[in-house]
Amino acid sequence: MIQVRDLVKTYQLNSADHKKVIILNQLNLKMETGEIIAIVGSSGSGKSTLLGLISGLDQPDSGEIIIQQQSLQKLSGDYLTKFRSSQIGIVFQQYYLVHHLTAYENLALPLEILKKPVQQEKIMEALRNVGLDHRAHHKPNELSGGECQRLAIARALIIQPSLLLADEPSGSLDVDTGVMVMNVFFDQIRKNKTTTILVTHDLDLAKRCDRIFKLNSGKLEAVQHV
Amino acid sequence: MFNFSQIFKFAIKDILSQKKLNLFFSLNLTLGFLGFLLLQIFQSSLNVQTLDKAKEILGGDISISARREISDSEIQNIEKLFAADIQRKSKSVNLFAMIKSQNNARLVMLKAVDHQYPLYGEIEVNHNGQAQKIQKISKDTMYVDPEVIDQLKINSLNEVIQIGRRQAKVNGIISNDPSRSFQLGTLAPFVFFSIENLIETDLIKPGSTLTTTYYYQLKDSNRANEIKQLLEKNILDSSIRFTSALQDDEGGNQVFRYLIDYLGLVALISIGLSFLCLSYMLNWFFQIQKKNLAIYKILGLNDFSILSLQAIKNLILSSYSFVVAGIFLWAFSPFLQNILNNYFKIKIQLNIQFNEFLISFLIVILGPQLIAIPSYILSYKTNPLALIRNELSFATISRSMQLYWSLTVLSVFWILSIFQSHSVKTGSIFILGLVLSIICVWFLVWFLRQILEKSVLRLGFENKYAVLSLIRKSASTNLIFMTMTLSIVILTLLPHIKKSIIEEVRPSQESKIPSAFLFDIQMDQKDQLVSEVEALFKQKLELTPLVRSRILKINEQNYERVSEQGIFKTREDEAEARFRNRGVNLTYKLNLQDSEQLVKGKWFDGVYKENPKDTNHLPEISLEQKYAERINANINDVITFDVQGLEIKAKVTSLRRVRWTSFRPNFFIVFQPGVLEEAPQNYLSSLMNLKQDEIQTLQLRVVDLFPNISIINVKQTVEKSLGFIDQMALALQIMAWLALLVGFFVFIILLNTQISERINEMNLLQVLGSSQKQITSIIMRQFTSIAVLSLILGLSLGAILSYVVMGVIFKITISFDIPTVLIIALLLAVLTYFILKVSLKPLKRIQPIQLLKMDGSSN
Repeated sequence: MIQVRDLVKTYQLNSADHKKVIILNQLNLKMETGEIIAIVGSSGSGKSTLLGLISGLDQPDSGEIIIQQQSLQKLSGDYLTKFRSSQIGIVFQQYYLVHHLTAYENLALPLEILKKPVQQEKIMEALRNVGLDHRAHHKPNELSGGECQRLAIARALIIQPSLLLADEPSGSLDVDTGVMVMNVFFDQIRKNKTTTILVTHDLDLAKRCDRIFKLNSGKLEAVQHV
Repeated sequence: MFNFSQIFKFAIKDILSQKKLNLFFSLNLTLGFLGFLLLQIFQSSLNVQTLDKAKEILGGDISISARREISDSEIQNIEKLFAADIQRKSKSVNLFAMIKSQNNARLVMLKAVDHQYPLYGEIEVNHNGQAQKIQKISKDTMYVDPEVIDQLKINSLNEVIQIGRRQAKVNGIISNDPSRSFQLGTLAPFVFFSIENLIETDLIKPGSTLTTTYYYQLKDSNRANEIKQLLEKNILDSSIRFTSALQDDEGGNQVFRYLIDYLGLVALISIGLSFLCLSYMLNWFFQIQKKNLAIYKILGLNDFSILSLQAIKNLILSSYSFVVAGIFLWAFSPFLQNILNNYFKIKIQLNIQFNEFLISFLIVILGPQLIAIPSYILSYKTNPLALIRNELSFATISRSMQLYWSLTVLSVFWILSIFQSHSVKTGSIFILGLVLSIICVWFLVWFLRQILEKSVLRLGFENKYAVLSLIRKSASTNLIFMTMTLSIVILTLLPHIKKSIIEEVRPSQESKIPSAFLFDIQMDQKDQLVSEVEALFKQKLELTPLVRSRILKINEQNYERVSEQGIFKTREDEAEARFRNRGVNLTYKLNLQDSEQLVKGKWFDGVYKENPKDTNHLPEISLEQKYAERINANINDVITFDVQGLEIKAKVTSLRRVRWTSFRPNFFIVFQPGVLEEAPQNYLSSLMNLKQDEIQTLQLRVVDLFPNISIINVKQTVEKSLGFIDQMALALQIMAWLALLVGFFVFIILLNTQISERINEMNLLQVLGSSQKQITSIIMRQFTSIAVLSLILGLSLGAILSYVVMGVIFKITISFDIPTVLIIALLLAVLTYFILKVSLKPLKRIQPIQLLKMDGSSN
């Protein structure tokens, strides 16, 4: 279960009066295990800021984020890093793969960092799940954009995270490839029952989630499926 | 369509928008240019000074001399060939002559000169304690070396001295004669006399041995070599010798040429390092700016405008760097001049010749453009579609294009090397060495990659990641490794070359520098002379025997050349015949001295013992290697000598390299002891560590006891030469450190750019769970391994290249400067460590959240 309570995040402007801008204002969210939610909102509404906070990469001004009964705000330093990397998977819009490693090595990387056993069969299966088993020994620059994003999805899922955060995963892809990648994405998270927060502009994509929220004036507003 | 002013504005905006990067860019160029210009100025000044010195030693831009009288009609005919070039002329006649005072008589070198002499420099004399310069030698006056006063026991300068049938007074004691260079051949002290009085002395008789020399100051000194060649082509009489102040000979001038050539290469290294760094930075810039370029193209800039934008940006930055370097030099040159003159006592006037300035300017303006060609090609090939498709990799350069560019850069650098070293051979070998070094580095990187790829799976995460980053990012690893290794190669090359040159021209121990030379010591005088010297100075006098002889045959073939009908076809044939027919001086000894090195064969086992039963058992001889080449003799050849009428056969058993500038008595041919001991011979010797007054004491004593022995006081001349060499060594050291400074800067740039380039990757590793400590450790391991490998390879290649450069180009024995190289290595290690520490600091501030915030930028 994921719980976000009274989350506040402000930024100080660089202007002369050092004015503060409130990005997230007493934001609350509760998710059940295996639930998939979509967050939509206009540019600059704070979607990435929210993901940054939930992923533990950023700290809120106030409020609390609880993942698997663990408050992120009570963790710091290496403990937070370890918790985050073992419990939270992230899929970025720009894939962020390590270019000098093969697809296989990219998948093995999080396991190696977490000092988990690197089982060849497990990695090959993860690659198979995203349709990349035949590309295991190719480097990212030898893969298409869609393949790279599928690889990034597989990498995020290989640690079997309690929470998956996806930031516009099809944002950099053409429509057809985007649809294909997102099919793989939903297949995988539904199969693994992975609790997922998907940030997207695409309402059609959002509709494939269990619930939709719109981030508006620093708060999440539930949106009804049409 | 954009016009020039718009592109210029764009370029300025681009520069200002990337202030930090461009600051690095121009700082690198400024430092490179500063090093290059400073070395150019120093080289140019030294060149002018050496040329001035050569002119002073020769007495003109060009001289015409003969060991006989040159008739007026003869000289007029010669002068006709270059009459238009003559500015001024002077004449001297040199001959050995006895001069006599009331108390004593001495053999001196009489130098009868006209009132124009010397055309360059001034002869300084001391007249009753007052320093003066000789303007004109008045009738019946003379100027003498200090030894003459002691040897003739002259009490007062007014004393009348007899020269042949003429009498003259000493008008001053020579304190500085610019024409004097250190040469063992000068056996007697000098006396300057007016040429107008020479005939009246009645010293010149038919058959007298004298040297007539005409000196010429040319309207354009640079034409000296050309005129020399013209005269040699037209005047076939080989008894007339033409000498140019510009010519490189085996004398002291050659030493200065070494130093100047060396400085030229240092300058090239300095700018080469800077350009290497520039190439790296331009590639990095392109990676950062490729999206901007694609955006510019989408916005309507055509390919030509894009190229112009890039070229103008580089031109602005290189011009800016050149101006900054120029202003710095202009502002600090008086200060530098002052430091060099007063603190380091280097008497040099810093200036630069216009043509050298022009070439420097062209190098600093065109060099960066040449280096930037790959980034221009990449800019040209950048397709805006890549931006729309959000392709990870933009344009790349084909291998063949890279090869063409590398070959072009190499060719330009080759031409520059030749220009800087004033020698096709030196420049070519220098470039060849660098190319071979590059090939070595490539091969080593390839080899290591093969090994590491196979063993990487066994490594732990940090090592595995570090190694994989290195071997998979081969382009950047190669570039860093290559740059670092080459920087180290050329940095460590400098101390070895400098030390070898200095060792060649300067005795390593102060105690071996001679104060006085003694000649013509007869056999019956040697014991008494040795004991006299021992009593006076507690110094054991080492006597070197000198036996005069001629070579008759080599391997039973007649050696002396005789022409058919006594006429030789060419000037060279006649000169060769003259060389062969000349006598040779022999000596004998059991051990090699410091100034000699065996290069082939085996040194003498012991004293020669004749074996009446074995007529093939011949005495052994050792030849100086270049002399052996000239007489076409090799190991096991048998040479027949005529030693005062007696034929002696000897077998060549070794070849030696001789350091002629060692201030020691050196010989072309050395005999095994046990052969020449009974032959008529005299001895020569040198005395070390004597003070000026001790030399005078020795002179007086020797004059009293052995009137025939000549003593030359070489203390001042030698000290002056050594002083100059030491000053040059110091100056070279300063310049080498300047090149080092540029090298260190290259390291800083490389490390910084690498770390900045990889910030996103580091962010990702943190998102995936790596701690900062782990990330720092990975980067540390990568750079430490590159640094250690570069250091080992660079030091080794530096030593090998120095060996090749010194052996093949300068043909002198290599002296490895291990301490300096170790200091450089240590400095590099410490500096690399600190740079790494400082450069890794941004890693502590990396925020993985940036990956979420970054939209549209690829890692």
